[in-house]
Amino acid sequence: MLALWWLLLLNPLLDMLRVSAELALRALPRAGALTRITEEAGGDWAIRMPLPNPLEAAARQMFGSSQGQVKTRFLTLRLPRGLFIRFTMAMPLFWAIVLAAPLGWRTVRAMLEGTALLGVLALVSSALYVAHTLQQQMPLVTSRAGVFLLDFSHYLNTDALPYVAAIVLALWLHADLRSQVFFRRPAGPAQLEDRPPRRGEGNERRGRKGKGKKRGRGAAS
Amino acid sequence: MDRMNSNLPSPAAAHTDAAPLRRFLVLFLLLCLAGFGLLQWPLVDRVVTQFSALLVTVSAGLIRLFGGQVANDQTILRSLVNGFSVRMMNGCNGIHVTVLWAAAVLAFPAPWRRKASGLAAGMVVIHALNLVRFLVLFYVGQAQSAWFDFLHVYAAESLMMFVTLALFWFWAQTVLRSASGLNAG
Repeated sequence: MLALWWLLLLNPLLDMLRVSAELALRALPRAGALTRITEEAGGDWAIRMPLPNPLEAAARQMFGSSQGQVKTRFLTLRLPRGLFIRFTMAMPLFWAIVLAAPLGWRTVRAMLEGTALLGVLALVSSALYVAHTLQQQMPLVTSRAGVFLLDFSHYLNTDALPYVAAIVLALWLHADLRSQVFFRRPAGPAQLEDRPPRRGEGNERRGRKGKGKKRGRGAAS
Repeated sequence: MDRMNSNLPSPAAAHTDAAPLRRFLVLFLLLCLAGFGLLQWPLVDRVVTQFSALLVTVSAGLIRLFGGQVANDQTILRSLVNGFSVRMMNGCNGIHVTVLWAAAVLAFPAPWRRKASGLAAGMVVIHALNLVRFLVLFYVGQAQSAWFDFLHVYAAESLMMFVTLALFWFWAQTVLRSASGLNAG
């Protein structure tokens, strides 16, 4: 799955991430047609975006335009491609884990939901990365707690989330995978997919726990 | 043992009993945050750097044992044949995976003795595998530098995560089997 992602899917996924990030940026206040994200010759991303309000004063100081003669409305960030690649790598990991479960409607649904969620997560991760890079250039946040939180979230965003998200999402979205990891496996071959409960299974549990609560057939947790 | 049995649902209820799973997930995420937060502490960071230096020393010793020619300086391992060198950074020393492993084992409803033994055994496996990963990357970097980044950032890290997931699955099944054995007895 990683090879498929690296050789075939990486560029389309990065393009999708770039286009959706650009659309999200354009939704920002003061963003216009000049807001865009382009890929440069070396593969790095050039992000042209409206200058956030708290940074206007810092930018004026930086460019020596305290008299108000120069107005800085946009800034361009050049960011290496590597981290954006990392933000898409949770997808092949997620697909690999989900496809290890028996193929069926649950698997297909988990694949679709998980891929969509990971797409959103990649977008959020990109936004955090941009915010952290801005912070390195100009102080977006000044309080110590704010700086720590931004640094810590950047650390989680780049070093933990790309690897952890796939596993947590797969187990969260796929009931059969969850039960294979967290519950004792049945003695025979696993046939959990859409299997109706055996006669007496529910009764056995109700009897053992001493509760009369009725459980619905095939309900996913 | 009673506490454990009340937490672990039977296979029949696997699809329906979500409470222990929710508890596991919340605890797991909180412990992950605590663990990764702890790594940001300068004192812990210094200890982790020393640990990385120790891993590089062990790697260099292993390479020399098999006739290789390398030099090591703190967290840097350098080939004396072609000058290629790698630095063991914080993400490469297996500490992140160890945090995840510890969070998963501690969040799982099991007796503390089981947790302690699982934690220790898992750490040994994770760090042994990480050592192999570091050595493989050191040689891949010398032979096929074009593949180094892919293997380093994506393939090897993913493999570590999958092995940790498989380890957790194996450990959890062992805990559950022993719990059900006690139930049956």
